Order: sequence, then structure tokens, then C-alpha cells
Amino acid sequence: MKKQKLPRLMKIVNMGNNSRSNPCLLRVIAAPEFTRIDFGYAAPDIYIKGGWIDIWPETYLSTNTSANRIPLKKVQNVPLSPEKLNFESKQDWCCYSLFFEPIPIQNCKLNIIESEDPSPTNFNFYDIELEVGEEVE
Amino acid sequence: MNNSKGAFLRYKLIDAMVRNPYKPYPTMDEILASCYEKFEVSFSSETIRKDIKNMRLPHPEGFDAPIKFHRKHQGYYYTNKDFTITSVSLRTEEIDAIEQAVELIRAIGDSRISEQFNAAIDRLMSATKDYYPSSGQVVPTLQLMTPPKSNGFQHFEFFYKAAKERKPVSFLHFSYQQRIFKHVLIHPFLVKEFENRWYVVGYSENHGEIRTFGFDRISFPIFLKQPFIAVSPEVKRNFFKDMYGVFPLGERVVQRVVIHADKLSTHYFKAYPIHESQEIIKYSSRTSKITFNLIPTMELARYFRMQSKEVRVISPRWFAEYVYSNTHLLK
Repeated sequence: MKKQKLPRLMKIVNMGNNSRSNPCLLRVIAAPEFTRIDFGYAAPDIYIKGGWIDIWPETYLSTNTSANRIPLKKVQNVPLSPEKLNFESKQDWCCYSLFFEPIPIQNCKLNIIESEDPSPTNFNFYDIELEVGEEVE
Repeated sequence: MNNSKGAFLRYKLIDAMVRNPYKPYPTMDEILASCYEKFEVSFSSETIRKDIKNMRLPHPEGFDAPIKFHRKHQGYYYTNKDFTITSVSLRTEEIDAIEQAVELIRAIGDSRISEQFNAAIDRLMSATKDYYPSSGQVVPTLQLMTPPKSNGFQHFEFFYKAAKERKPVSFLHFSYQQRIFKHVLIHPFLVKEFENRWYVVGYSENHGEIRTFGFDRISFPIFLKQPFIAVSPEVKRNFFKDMYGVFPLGERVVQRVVIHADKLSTHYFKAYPIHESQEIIKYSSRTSKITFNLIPTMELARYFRMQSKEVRVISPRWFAEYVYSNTHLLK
């Protein structure tokens, strides 16, 4: 019987030239059925009540191993735009996950694109260097 | 008649009838007649069928009873002749002792113990007594402070399992002080409670040493399939021995901490020592000098700061400065 492949924790070897720390890219899990990317977000000081967050539904992934766009499948702990998660104060924080279609489970460079023409509230990450890590139960 | 009480009593009666070697294969009519005789209530055959179905349910909902209907004898029997739902035989004193222990556990943390625990205790007690009221039905004669559930407590069972089964864990962590996130890889060996705050303790791959993380700052923990980095039982046992609290300040070194306590607080320190190393030297003025040999922690600093009108930290000097100026010396 063929052994079921387990998801893999992808080690973030290099963040590339991405200086943005909010949202903070924290963890990438590559499974045969999905790609999960976990972020942390701390409400900034500039808004009286901490502001809000959402995710653009057209957010996608791409890698250096394929020309295909890898679309967003679902989100966890963060709403899809135009819905918003409103914070209550500057002290607030949250972790959220974005689930995409699977990427090949191999070492690669990953781009996370929320918008090709980003506004200051969008985020894009380019050339995140990933290495295949440990299996996830 | 309370439903669960009635059900437990009927299960016991059915069990006894099915196991009776002198009158095997009790029929539905015989069970109904016995129920009427014993409880003076007429049950329907539908109720008894439901009871038998419930007895067959796997743990923890039922008893996993191998009960079947025999067509030839038109009655019920156990496919395993040694089976009984009352297989635990305890003496009355032992049952009383368990009841007291359960009441104490429930008083300590009714909100903290799992559904599984409640189900297990209910099953054990129902098997040993005619009726044991399940959790929620008991009016306790022992009451402790039961604070509301705290953020992150939902991780309790996950980390308990990780520590018990030696499973490495990956989780996301938010630092309140620095307001930064980290992805942490930890090999947990202990779940720790202090002042109703819950922590996981383990070898952190990120830090290359044993670290403590508050449940409330943890998100999305997952198990990893990789070799577990274990610490010695000695370390496990003694990790918090020299601490009041969980987060050491500065270097993790045992130090002699000296405080001055006023008259009133001297009584409280005497009645409720905060560490086994505590020694009180009373002055004629009835105030006192109190010494401890321990690793200064954030929690100890907070404790002394909260009593700053009654208690004064004398040494070490850096710790006194930390307590009163709140300088962040956390490693």
C-alpha cells in the first residue's frame, strides 16, 4: 500500500528583501492537499483603536519552480475583503492562516502576492527561500 | 426519578439479570417485570431497548457491553461470559475516598478538567454505587477560588499530550513585552500552572535551552514528527524548585533575597510561606527580616511590588531596583 505523504514544515531559510514585519510571515506548511501560511499581526500605534485587517480574495502564491499562480482556498482567523476584522485597541494582536492550493514539496523560492498593484494596506512578499523540513502530524 | 439515576439503576439490573447463571437469557418481559418489582415504575420495552443500546456504546459514552439477543432462547446474553458493567469492586471506604478526591479535584478546577475526566469518574462511580450524581449535579461542600477560563487554556490538552507522549511541537508566539512574533520549535516536558496562568516548559530549539511559554501568547500549535530532545528527570523535577513563579530575571542563579516586612505582613509570611527556603528573623518591634534562597523572578518582583507599603526588598540591590523601578532585566 502506498504510504500517505504527510505535510511538511518548510523552513524559512531567507526572508529575501522583505523588510515588512507586520504582518509577520511566521510559518509555511506544504501538504499534498494545501499550502498553509501562518502570519502574526500586531495592531499598530497609528490607529486609535488599532485599525483593522482583511485579506484580498485574489491573493496568490507563485514559486520559482513553476509559472502557475497558486490561488487562495480559504482563510482562518482573518476575514476576506470586503469584510474586516476590527481591533479594539492598539494592544491587540492575532495570528491567522491562509490556505492555498498545494505547492510542490521541494526547496523553492516563494512569492506571496496580495496585490500586483499594492496599496499601503496590502502586503507582498517576494523570494522567500524555503527548504523542506520536518514532517507534521 | 432523575433520568441518569434511573438509567444507571436499570443498567445494573439488566447486567445482573444477564449474568445470572441460574436464570440465563432474560426476556424483555422478564426485564420489564423485574424493573417494575424493583423500582415500582412501569417502563416501556422501548426504554429497555434504549438502555441496552446505551450499554453497548463504546467508552466513554457506554460500557462497551457485548450484549446480544439470542433468537432460540428469546432472551439477552453477554457474548463474553466474564463481562460485567460493575467489574470494579471497591469497598465503601474506598468509594468514599474517591468521592472526596473527586470533589477536591472539581473544587480546584472544575473548569480546568476535561470532559473525559468527568466521564471516566462518572463511569467508575456508577459501576460501584447504585447512584452517583454526575458533575454539575453536586453541591460542593468544599469551595476554592475558581477563576474564569483564561486565554490559551484551550491548549491544555494539546501540550499535556505533547509532554506526556514526548512530541515536539511547532507554535506561533507573541511577546507582550517586545510585541514581536516568533515561530517556536519546542520539545515540551512539563505543563505548569502558577497563579492560574498556564505555561508549557521545554527545550526550545530557537533558544538552545529550556524555556517557558505562556499559553495565552501561543497560537496554532502542531505536532512534529521528529526525534524528541529529552531532558533528564532531575532537571524536570527541579526546574522550578528554586523559583517563586516561572520567568527568571537576569542569570538563572540562586541568590539570597532579603526583605523587610512590617508587623502585619510578618504574620502572613509566617502563615503562608512563599518558598521552602523562607526564614523569618523577628525584631523586637515585631517587624521582621525575611530571607529566601531562590532565583529572582518576574512573579516574585510583582508579588513584592504589590505589597510595597508593607514589604521592602533590601538585597540583592539590582533586584530591589528592578522591583521599584520596573527595569526590564528579563533574559
